Amino acid sequence: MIRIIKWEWFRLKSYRSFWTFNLGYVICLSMTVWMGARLIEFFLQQSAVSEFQSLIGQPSLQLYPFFFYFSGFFEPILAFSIMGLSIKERELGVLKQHVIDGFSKEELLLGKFFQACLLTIFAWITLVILIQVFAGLNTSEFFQKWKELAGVALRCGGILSFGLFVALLIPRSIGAVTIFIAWSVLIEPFLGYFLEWNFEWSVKKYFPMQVFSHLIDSPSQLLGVSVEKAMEQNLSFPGLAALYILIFWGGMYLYTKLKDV
Amino acid sequence: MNEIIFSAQNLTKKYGALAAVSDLSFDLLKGQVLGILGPNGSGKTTTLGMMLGVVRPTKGDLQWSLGESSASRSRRHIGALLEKPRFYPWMNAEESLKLTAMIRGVHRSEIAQALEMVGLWDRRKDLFKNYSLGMKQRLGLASAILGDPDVLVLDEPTNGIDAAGIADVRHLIIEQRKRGKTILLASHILDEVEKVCSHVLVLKQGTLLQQGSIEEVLKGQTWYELKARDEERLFEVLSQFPRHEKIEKKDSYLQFFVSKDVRGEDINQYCYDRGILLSEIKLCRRSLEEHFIEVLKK
Repeated sequence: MIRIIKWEWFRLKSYRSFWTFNLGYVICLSMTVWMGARLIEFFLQQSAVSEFQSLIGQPSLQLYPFFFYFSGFFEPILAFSIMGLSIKERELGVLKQHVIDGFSKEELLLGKFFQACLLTIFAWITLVILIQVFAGLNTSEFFQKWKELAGVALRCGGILSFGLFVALLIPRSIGAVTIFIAWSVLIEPFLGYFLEWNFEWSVKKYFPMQVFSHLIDSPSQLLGVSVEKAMEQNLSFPGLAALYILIFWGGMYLYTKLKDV
Repeated sequence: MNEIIFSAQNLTKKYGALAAVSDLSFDLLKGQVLGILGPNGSGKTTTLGMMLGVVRPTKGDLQWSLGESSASRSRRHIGALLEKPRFYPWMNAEESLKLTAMIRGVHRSEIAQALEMVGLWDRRKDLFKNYSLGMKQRLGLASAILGDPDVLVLDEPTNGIDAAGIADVRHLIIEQRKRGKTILLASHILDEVEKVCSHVLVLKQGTLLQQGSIEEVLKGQTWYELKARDEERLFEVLSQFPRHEKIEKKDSYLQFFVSKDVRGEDINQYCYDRGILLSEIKLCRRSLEEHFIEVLKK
């Protein structure tokens, strides 16, 4: 196990795009947290809704839903960082060499799983640190929101798993990234609307990327509703998200097992 | 010496309707240097791929007996270079071998030794992408010999290497053979195979045409070329030689095929006793290349 983790880290740390994408994620998230903290504070201070006045003393508390939700927008950047490496390894045939050198296909897949775990932990810690730094949260407050924090990890794990799954099926980097984006922003919504309009099947919310992106409720209710309502943020379909993660890894296992390296 | 370390039974690989390898069965013995011969598309690389776990056989069984519980663990005792060297272009030679060492569980101190053996120690910090074809091939060989594996599987190891390099590679393989390593060598340079291999296996369109030791394969492939002033008389005398198999005329020589135990001096003495003075007598042996071409034509 330790051997695989060390090996994965050795490969990742030497891959420049991995660092570039991760830096991109940190920059995007930092800007969002920094700007978001100020914007929301501003709107809340401007708000005439009486319920919000009581919150101005503790603005950070209202920022949780915003950051938890919006950090998901940048998680695909993390997915791209490992998708690129995964595809490149196949193109170069180094995966074949790793198998020849003595890795089993299961160990290769386990390595990918560690990549996803590593990035999930990275995304989670980055979010926690940035919110603490820019929004002035303290740790005890933070862990009151353990359910949402678990949701962040689950969502990130899901997006990364989906990315790796696509990278396994599509042999070119550009193609895989295009399919990833197209699936998330075009195929799923259009298919959902199509099924809804034509067959009255309201299934869009059960599609994988919809499940991951809406796992943490949107904070759209933040303004103009009661404080209690604004502070409520639930997880939608966490079980289904976990099931999708299992399906992706199961699919990757079957594909790897049945195909030549 | 007769311990079987790899066994393949009815190995078959099909890509759709095309059979890359059909019902191939063979054993690899400990200490054997087995050359796999065959024209392009004969199934050499597919066979090696199946042996190394990167190609799934459609049918058949294969088994490594290297004292390990699983195929992947067995592969850690095998150093292999399949088709071409495969490394990350953004890593240097040392880093590339570190990755291999991690997988095989080999101590990093052995990396220096492997790089020195292939003559890449001075270029160890250069990126793989900046290497020439020959240097890449050398790095592939360094990766194969890293950790002193029990078995070496080399697919066209001299690809892209210059003449001096080819001699180095041959020397390296012979050194490994002397140390009792088991080697599987696929190459289209038959001279190379003949020089280093003890056994050969000939494939054509995925089927096994011939296998055995080089001596067995080339058995009956030696003959004498004789020349005398009176060629007709020589022919007549040789036709009466007790252990002769065949006489053929070629240019100004007679090609005289005899049983294996007949020596040149016996023939010379036989002719002399019958009043013929040989002006030339030469032992000829068919090269593996000539034999191979003939086998493929059949």
